[in-house]
Amino acid sequence: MRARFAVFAAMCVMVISVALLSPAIAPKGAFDATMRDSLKAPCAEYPLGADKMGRDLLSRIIYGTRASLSMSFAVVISVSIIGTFLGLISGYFGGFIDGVIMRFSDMMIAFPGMVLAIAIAGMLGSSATNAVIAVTAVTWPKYTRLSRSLVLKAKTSLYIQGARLSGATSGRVVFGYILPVIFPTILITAVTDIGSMMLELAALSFLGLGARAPSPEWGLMMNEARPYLARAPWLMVYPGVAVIMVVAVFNLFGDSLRDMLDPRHSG
Amino acid sequence: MLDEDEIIRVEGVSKRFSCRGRGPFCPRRSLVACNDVSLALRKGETLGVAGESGCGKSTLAKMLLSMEAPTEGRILYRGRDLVGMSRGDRRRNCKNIQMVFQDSLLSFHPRKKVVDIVTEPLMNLGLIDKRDKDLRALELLDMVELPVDVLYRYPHSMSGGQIQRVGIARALSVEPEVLVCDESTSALDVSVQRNVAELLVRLQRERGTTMMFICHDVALINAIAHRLAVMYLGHIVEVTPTSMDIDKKVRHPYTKALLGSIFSVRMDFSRRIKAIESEAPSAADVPPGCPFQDRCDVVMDICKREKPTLLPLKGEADHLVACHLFGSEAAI
Amino acid sequence: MVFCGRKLCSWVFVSLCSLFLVFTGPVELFAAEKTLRVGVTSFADTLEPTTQYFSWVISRYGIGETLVRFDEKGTPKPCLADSWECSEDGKSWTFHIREGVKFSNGNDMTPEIVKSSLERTFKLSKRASTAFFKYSSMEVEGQSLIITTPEPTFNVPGSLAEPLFIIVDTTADTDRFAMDGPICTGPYRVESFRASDTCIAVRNDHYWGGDVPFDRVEFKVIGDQVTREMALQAGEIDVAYNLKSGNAPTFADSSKFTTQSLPALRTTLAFMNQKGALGSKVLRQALIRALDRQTYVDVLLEGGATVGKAPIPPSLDFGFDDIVDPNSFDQDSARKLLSDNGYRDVDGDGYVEAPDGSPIDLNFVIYDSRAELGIYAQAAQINLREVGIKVTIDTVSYETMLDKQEAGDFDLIIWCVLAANTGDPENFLREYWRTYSKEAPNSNKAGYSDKEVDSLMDRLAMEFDPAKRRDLIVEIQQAIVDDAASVFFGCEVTYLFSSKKVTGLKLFPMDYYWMTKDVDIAE
Repeated sequence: MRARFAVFAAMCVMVISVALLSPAIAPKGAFDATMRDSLKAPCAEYPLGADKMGRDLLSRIIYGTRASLSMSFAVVISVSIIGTFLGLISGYFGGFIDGVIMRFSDMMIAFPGMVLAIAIAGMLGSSATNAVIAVTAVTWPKYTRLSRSLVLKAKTSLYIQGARLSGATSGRVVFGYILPVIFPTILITAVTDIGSMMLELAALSFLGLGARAPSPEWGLMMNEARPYLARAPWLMVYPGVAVIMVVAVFNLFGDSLRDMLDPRHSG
Repeated sequence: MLDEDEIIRVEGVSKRFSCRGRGPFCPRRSLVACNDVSLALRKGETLGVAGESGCGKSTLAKMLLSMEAPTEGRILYRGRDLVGMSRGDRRRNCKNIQMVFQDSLLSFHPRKKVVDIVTEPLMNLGLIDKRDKDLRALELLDMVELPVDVLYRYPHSMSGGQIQRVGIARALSVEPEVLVCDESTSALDVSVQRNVAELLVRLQRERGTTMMFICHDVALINAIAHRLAVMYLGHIVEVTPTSMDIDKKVRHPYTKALLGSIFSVRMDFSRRIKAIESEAPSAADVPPGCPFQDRCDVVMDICKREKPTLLPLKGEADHLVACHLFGSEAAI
Repeated sequence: MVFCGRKLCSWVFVSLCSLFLVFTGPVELFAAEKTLRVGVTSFADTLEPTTQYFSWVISRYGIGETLVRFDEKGTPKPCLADSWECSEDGKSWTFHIREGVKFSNGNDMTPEIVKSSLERTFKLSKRASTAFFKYSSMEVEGQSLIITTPEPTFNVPGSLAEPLFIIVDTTADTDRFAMDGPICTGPYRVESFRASDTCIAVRNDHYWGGDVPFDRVEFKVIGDQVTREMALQAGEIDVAYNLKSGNAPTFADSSKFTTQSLPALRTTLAFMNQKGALGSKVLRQALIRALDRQTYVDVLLEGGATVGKAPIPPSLDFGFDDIVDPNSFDQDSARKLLSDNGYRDVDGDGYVEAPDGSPIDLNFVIYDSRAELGIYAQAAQINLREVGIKVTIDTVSYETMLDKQEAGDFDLIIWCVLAANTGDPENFLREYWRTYSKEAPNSNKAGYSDKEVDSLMDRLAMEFDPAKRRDLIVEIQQAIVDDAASVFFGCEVTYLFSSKKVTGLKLFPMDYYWMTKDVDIAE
């Protein structure tokens, strides 16, 4: 189990270092273009071919790691902070606040997530930041509900009564006692979600609602490749492969992390 | 009648829980956990509270600790009503009244070490500085006769007796005036139970702590407490000073039956063990009149109509009984 | 409960049935009707002809007609007016209104209604008087309509051929035009309209011009080029508009598809907002010099356009080849121009800062319904990066683009327009390059102002001799090009792909006529 975890952790580190070191790894710049080489097939100069504007696809895919990782990390971090915070408040204090937060999250959950994200991104206008906001806006209820249910369970436990008896304030009970108990579950969920967030963000970009041209973002690159699907399939295939690989790595990493921290759920 | 020594005064406290009846259209019923309970704890004394499970002992303890609010009546700590207190005051009052749980392990945060647990109230109430934490924790461990090396251990790797000691150390860390022990020794092996009970008695004597010792074991109470209060279905039926021959002194039929059911090595096995016939009625539907009427050997007509009040016996001012048998005697 | 269950069952049944109907589609349902399905891109939110350019859609769909109509060579020809003449002084035009024309609601088209329709257009659309002509009076005399202009106006017939002047029945409920379609005289009338989805047109039984072949024409809005291409390939639609040269290989099989192409009047340019950083002529010149427009059209658009240079495309004879571009592609001179004039990269980010040290980041607004615009913009961005000018592309919807243009909220804004939508470029030039003023408002929101250009335009308005007009127009264009007022990217070659069985479909240089009574289907 630990070995599995180590392998996937190493792979994640690799992906992250590709993102960090992309200028050193990529053979060309993400924006360097030779228009005369438009749609050139893979060859020695362009290992994965060139795109419509004559940019090196390999380099753009390597640079694309940055956009994909930073966007999905931004989403995962913000949803787990916002969602957990609301869930803590909602679960601990209950009553009116709980009602408001839960009804609001029910409302968000009632829509199919991706459709709502598309609507929000469409409303805000296309940009990487807005795509992150859109995905965050539809994902937080999951974390709120999760943390709320964990809080409700923790709240009735004797150690919380003990904490109150030992003079802990509400804030201390929530953040000093309940949060540390529910944190591992939230962390595992967040890590497991990185992959799916990445897919959703790529999907938004693919629909033209995320990153904007000419930024090297995988979803956007696939969108740009669509008119040339028949003539230059590599433009669609390689960014797709990149997405699949990275998503798979993070999903497997999340699973192995869960198995390690919480063996009850394994198998 | 303000008594200088009186630390806790429970005045006519009732606690009712409303619970849903079976089926959606059944009326809501209310479960009476404590019914018109009045008690007083004097400084430095140990009051044992005995009774069957479900008789309202734990609810009484929770109300003392403000974990539950009474439906009626008031609880005075040194003349101050705990019920009407603000949240902040109630929090600060933790310093005065502390509790040792039946299963202390469950009352410890799963991710805290012994050092953090025993100093938890001190830290939460801001009574000590973070730097003094370890030192203070060592003193507390020494007080409850635990070795130093448990300081950085997690409680779930410790034995039941050790865990209860940690619980006691935590409760006493703020030097409370009142300590409530809710079945604190019940889950332990008999030998360990004895050690822990002895520790409690020693600490109580050394510090002059007032203690409410809730336990279903009347013999243990008789051994360590000054007075015994017997509860039945949310009512206090008898309060009496403890003594070696307590089984001869108690008057209430229920108390007698309770004492009669104690097993002892020295007991006379030729005598028939007198069991109390039938189950105790549910606390959800207490009949009018005496709560014990259905199971009492000497039930009278009046018992079914009128609820007896807790009154001192003639000539024994600190022996109170709630029974119609002694109604005439009790009239002072 | 039993009742509930039955009710539920019947509901489920009904919903399944309707789902079935939706998915099997109207093809089966209306099989008896002769239907044509056309894949289009649409920019019309409503069908109110006086709003923005929505009247173009009404004309293209074969619903609305104008008094005058352009033929395949761009010459004005009779339509709802069967003849016209101009007075000696050039200020009075008499149009003889065709008799026997009925609106699609059966009302007769009288000269009075024509007059009130034109008055309505002038009242509701600012563009009518700013982009075309101003009139001082409109009189009905028998079957004729006499339009008097305050100044001699050369191109009243050509102006009235622009779809903005579609004749509508003003006696009908004009408030319902926007959603239910206007009441016009074309071969088809609107049955239902859903913006950005479908517009269904059905035969106008009162059509004056002969037999109308189809019972029903469905205009399906398929905004995405690839989807539209695939829809035609799969036979979901019979005709696909606004496809590009890049789509041609897909429809190479001439036994199944017909391909038409025409060098168009459509020119793609970018206005440069002179109220911002591009107020500097040096920066504008450097910007234009940095652009390798020949590569854009040859390589990136694969011959889907001819390279641009001046406002009026080479397809009209207004001296395109005579105009000298002082800012032809030369990146070295662009760099030199920048550095000589204080545009240097001070902070080392690879992009130049203005001489006062403020960073330059040009906001290039484009819209997404035409694929080539994104290619032009991205290519420009790449070329400009090479000379150190930073450009950020802002891709918006067509409507937002119009709003931004109106508000002057841009540094560069793409504009894809028919350069001579009246058959004469005078209005086109006035609309975009004459100095904007409150008295004579036009679409020049880029702040370009040149006294010489203005006076040449005023002379052009008074000139009725075609040869002299041409000379003036060449002179105006040269001045605009010399000022580096706008970026002229290229002039489009338009393509029309259709199923082989569709007949009578024609491409017009003036892109107003898609569905005509001549379009039929061979069985």
